Amino acid sequence: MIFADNVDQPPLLRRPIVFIPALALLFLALLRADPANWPLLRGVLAAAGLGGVLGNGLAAAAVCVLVGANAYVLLRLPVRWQVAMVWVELTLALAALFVSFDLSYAFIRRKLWILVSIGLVNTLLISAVSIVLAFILAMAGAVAKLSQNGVALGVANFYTSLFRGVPLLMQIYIIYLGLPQIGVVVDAIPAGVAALSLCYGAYMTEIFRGGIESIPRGQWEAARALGLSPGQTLRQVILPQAMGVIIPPTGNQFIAMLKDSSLVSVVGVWELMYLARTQGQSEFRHIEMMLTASMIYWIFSILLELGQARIERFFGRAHAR
Amino acid sequence: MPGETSPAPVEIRALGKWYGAFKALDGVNLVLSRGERLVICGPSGSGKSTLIRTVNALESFQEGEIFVEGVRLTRAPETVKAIRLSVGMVFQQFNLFPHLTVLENCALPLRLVRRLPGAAAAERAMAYLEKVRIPEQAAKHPAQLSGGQQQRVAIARALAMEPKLMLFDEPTSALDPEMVKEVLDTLLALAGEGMTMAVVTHEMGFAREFADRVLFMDGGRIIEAAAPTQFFSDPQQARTRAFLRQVLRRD
Ligand SMILES: Nc1ncnc2c1ncn2[C@@H]1O[C@H](COP(=O)(O)OP(=O)(O)O)[C@@H](O)[C@H]1O
Ligand SMILES: [Mg+2]
Repeated sequence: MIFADNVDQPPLLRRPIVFIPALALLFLALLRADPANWPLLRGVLAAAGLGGVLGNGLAAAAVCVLVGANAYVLLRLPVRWQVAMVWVELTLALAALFVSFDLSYAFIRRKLWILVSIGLVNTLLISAVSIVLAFILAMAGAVAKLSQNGVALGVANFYTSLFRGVPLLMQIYIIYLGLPQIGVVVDAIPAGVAALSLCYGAYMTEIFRGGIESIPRGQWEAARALGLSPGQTLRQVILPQAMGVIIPPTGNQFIAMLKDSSLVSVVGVWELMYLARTQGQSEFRHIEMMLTASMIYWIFSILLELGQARIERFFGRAHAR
Repeated sequence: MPGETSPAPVEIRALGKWYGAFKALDGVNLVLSRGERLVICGPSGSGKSTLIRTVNALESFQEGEIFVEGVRLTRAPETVKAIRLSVGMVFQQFNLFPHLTVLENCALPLRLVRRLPGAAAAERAMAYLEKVRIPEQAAKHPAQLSGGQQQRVAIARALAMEPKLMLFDEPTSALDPEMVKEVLDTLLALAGEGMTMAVVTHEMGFAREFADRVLFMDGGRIIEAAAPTQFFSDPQQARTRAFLRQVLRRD
């Protein structure tokens, strides 16, 4: 959170210059909307026995009052409750959107198990193995980039430049389709893992380099003066401290990787995305499968975020006063 | 070997160092004898830190020679390691390891460098924390300690390695005034045990009480070196007198 001042700034929504135009815009938008598209509105209109422009206006006004009342209540809750309520309301809104798609829930129920038991398992497996490999690559890349060794520096620079500069999709194709040209045949899953690890390793090299560089020189000097070897200094003194800087952005990378692992579906790996596409095809139920897969991705991203927060707290502990 | 004269802890001959085109040390000659307590003073930027940091290879140099305990300092890893093992160093900014407890700060190098098993390392670390009179802080992290306590931990950490000599680079300059004394008292106690020490400091009252010899540097050169009684009462060089007038007025 931004370091809070001891001044009660009026919340945005409580400022007339914000909420009056906002409600006015909402009112106008509802006025122009076709009531037939709004089952709720239609209900209100029918109950009032009103139609036409007047009914439309009344309905729009009613919705505006509801929205305003909602904001009024929201603004008077403690912060935690505000957050929770916003989540509930936005989730309901999202659900309402999905409901309006007229989905076949029977189809989703029938296919859910296959999506989870094969697709999700493969997705998680690919992501987990890739993040571990990327972590190792990034560590090596960062140490090479910070070294005085021109060969190591050159290799590391070339590596990060290439794998950050080429689209991940291309990397997957090149590893899967290109390597067999020189006699190296790679299965789909290893090819996908290789591409993901190399690509994310390149991004994470910069994160690791920044983390190592953020540790003050005095730490290196103290370790050296005590006789620690370069490897001991790095492992026992620098990296444990750098982890506090490295872990948060690495968590973001992991979440991004979870979703980018969907790209390996192009080489036919039976991960979540691939199954979502192929399972939907048979009965032209694409939306159902895509939405289900998306929700699974989202749920696991949330779980990763929670895990990341715990790890951050763990590494933050040492510096707590 | 008995009968044979042991080498001087530090011998520096015609030392010269450049930072790019800037000459930070210029023809420095210095011999530190066993058990000697040397104080180095001089204006900011005169090369005091650079001088003591070349001794344990934290800085490189281009001219001259340095011998530590008779070993000529080169860039060879084994030589540098051997010399760093005989030299303990204490920094202005303490440089404790913030992710480790006070005890682990002292025990880590014992385990990694002296190869002591964990229990023996912890035991020796504790003994040195008792020596600087903060054993009760052993389980805390450095950030939970006052500046003076942190600096005493740094001293204990260096001492636990049982070096032959100790270097201090302005050990009290980052401290609040009320904490200066506890650190200087630790240094005086150490001097009482015969440790060879070189201390860069602006604390002239301490220098008078502590030092066998006071050395004044300016512009990368040693301008004057004398016993404290003579150094403070009858400095020979005009630059020394000007410097002393300034720092003593402050005291
Ligand atoms: N890393 C460096 N690069 C360039 N110049 C430096 C560096 N370190 C120190 N110097 C210069 O060398 C001179 C001596 O520095 P230093 O030994 O730190 O002085 P002192 O400890 O006496 O204040 C100063 O003029 C300083 O600016
Ligand atoms: Mg200095």
